[in-house]
Amino acid sequence: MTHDLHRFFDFIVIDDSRLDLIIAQKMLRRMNADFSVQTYDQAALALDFVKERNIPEGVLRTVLLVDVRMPLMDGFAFMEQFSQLPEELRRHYVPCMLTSSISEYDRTRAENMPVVHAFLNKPPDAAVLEALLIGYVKDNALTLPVS
Amino acid sequence: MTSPPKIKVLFLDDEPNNVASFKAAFRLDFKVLTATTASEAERLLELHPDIHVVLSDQRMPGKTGAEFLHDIQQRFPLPVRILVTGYTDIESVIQAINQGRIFRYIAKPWIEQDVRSALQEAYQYYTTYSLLMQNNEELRTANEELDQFAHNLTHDIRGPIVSALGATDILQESDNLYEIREIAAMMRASLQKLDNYVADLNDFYLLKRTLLQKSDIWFEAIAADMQRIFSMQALLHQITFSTQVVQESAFPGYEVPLRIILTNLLDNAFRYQRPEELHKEVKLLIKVGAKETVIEVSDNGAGIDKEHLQQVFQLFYRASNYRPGSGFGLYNVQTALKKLNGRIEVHSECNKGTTFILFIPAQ
Repeated sequence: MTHDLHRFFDFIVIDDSRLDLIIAQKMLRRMNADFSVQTYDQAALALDFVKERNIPEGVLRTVLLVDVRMPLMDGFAFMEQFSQLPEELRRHYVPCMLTSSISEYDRTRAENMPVVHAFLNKPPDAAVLEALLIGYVKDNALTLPVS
Repeated sequence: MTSPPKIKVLFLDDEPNNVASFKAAFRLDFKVLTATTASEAERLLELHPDIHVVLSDQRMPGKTGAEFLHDIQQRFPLPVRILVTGYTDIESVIQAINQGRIFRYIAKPWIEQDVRSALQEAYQYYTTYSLLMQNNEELRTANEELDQFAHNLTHDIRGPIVSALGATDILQESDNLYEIREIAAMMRASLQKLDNYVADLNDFYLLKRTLLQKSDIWFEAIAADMQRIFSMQALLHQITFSTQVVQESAFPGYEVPLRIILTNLLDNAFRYQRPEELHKEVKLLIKVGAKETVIEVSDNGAGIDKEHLQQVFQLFYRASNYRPGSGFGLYNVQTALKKLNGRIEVHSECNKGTTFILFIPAQ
């Protein structure tokens, strides 16, 4: 299924570190060269984009990889705001935290936010993410249209 | 007899005669305030937050002494409470001790020497207790900071390490020299951030944990050092750095915190510039008076948003997305200022610049 994952998922990575954005992007492209990846170094701009963007078509879901600690709007504030968006928009997204924090406090706080689908540690691990994506496809019974 | 620091005592009794004789007996060795009603006594407690000991007669119309001492406990926790009462009131004494956390009771008619030693002991208890309260407060702050550290540690220290690790993966797989150079530069910035963090952490502990040395300060020397420290940044980013010192006599103070404050404020001033500004400027102006030194650090850079201005002195607060900061800088400034009993004002306007004004009293 791995080679088909780009037909189910595209990505928005949000991190104030430019280096971490590049690292995440490379990891994703290595996993599947056809992944479409957008990056934002400010959470507020990413949120604006999500609000104004047309809802992705068909089975396509957008994975949000959001850093926790960022100046101004941090990962939690982003998730909080995201959870206020209408359900028909939210269901097309898979919001995940991606953080260097190994603090239990951050993890617990993220787990207590129903909107957060997963809490991932940096550096991002392709195998972990792949398992997560495949699991998502199965759990939500996503199928590709027969072409 | 050595004169102890004046112990401030409040004596409450509804009998004017008792009040007068108490005052006559003790006014030379103690600062005596007196009241004949509970409400008057409470007013005095409000007016004199430095009262050390409160004595109250038990038998008064309206409120008993035990009730009064019990009632003031919440609002005025510091003064030590003593009940003055006849032997026949032993029941009420027991009640008072149990309910009102009475330090001692003095039997009526009182013996001058007993009262004297009770007051001395009460004062000792007062100082021990206030010291304990102060220590508790310091401990609480230290604990809070420690919590915050533990919480931030993984991000602030692990963050740059993890980024650098992730970058090595890319470097190992890349054949593109341009990409390798770009990633290496970013790795460097990431590790530089970690190094800055450790330096700031060191300042933080220097301020918290070391005793300060008082010395005569000549600000020309400090200003010259700042010129030296920031000359590279000034040159590199074409920023005009001017310093001006007006000082006629030596200024007694603590030099270490002053230097920490200046390097942090100047570092910010150099950092938060606007690239499009043609005449980038940072100014350091020091005016030394006999009692107070006023220091102005100003720039014509990016400025600080109104909504973030209140929070910039918080530990780990970062108001900018574009410039690396450890979140320590202005917090260290504030800790250093506390050590100097100084205060700070900040004036800032977006895209116009920022001015920090420090007021440092002579030590």
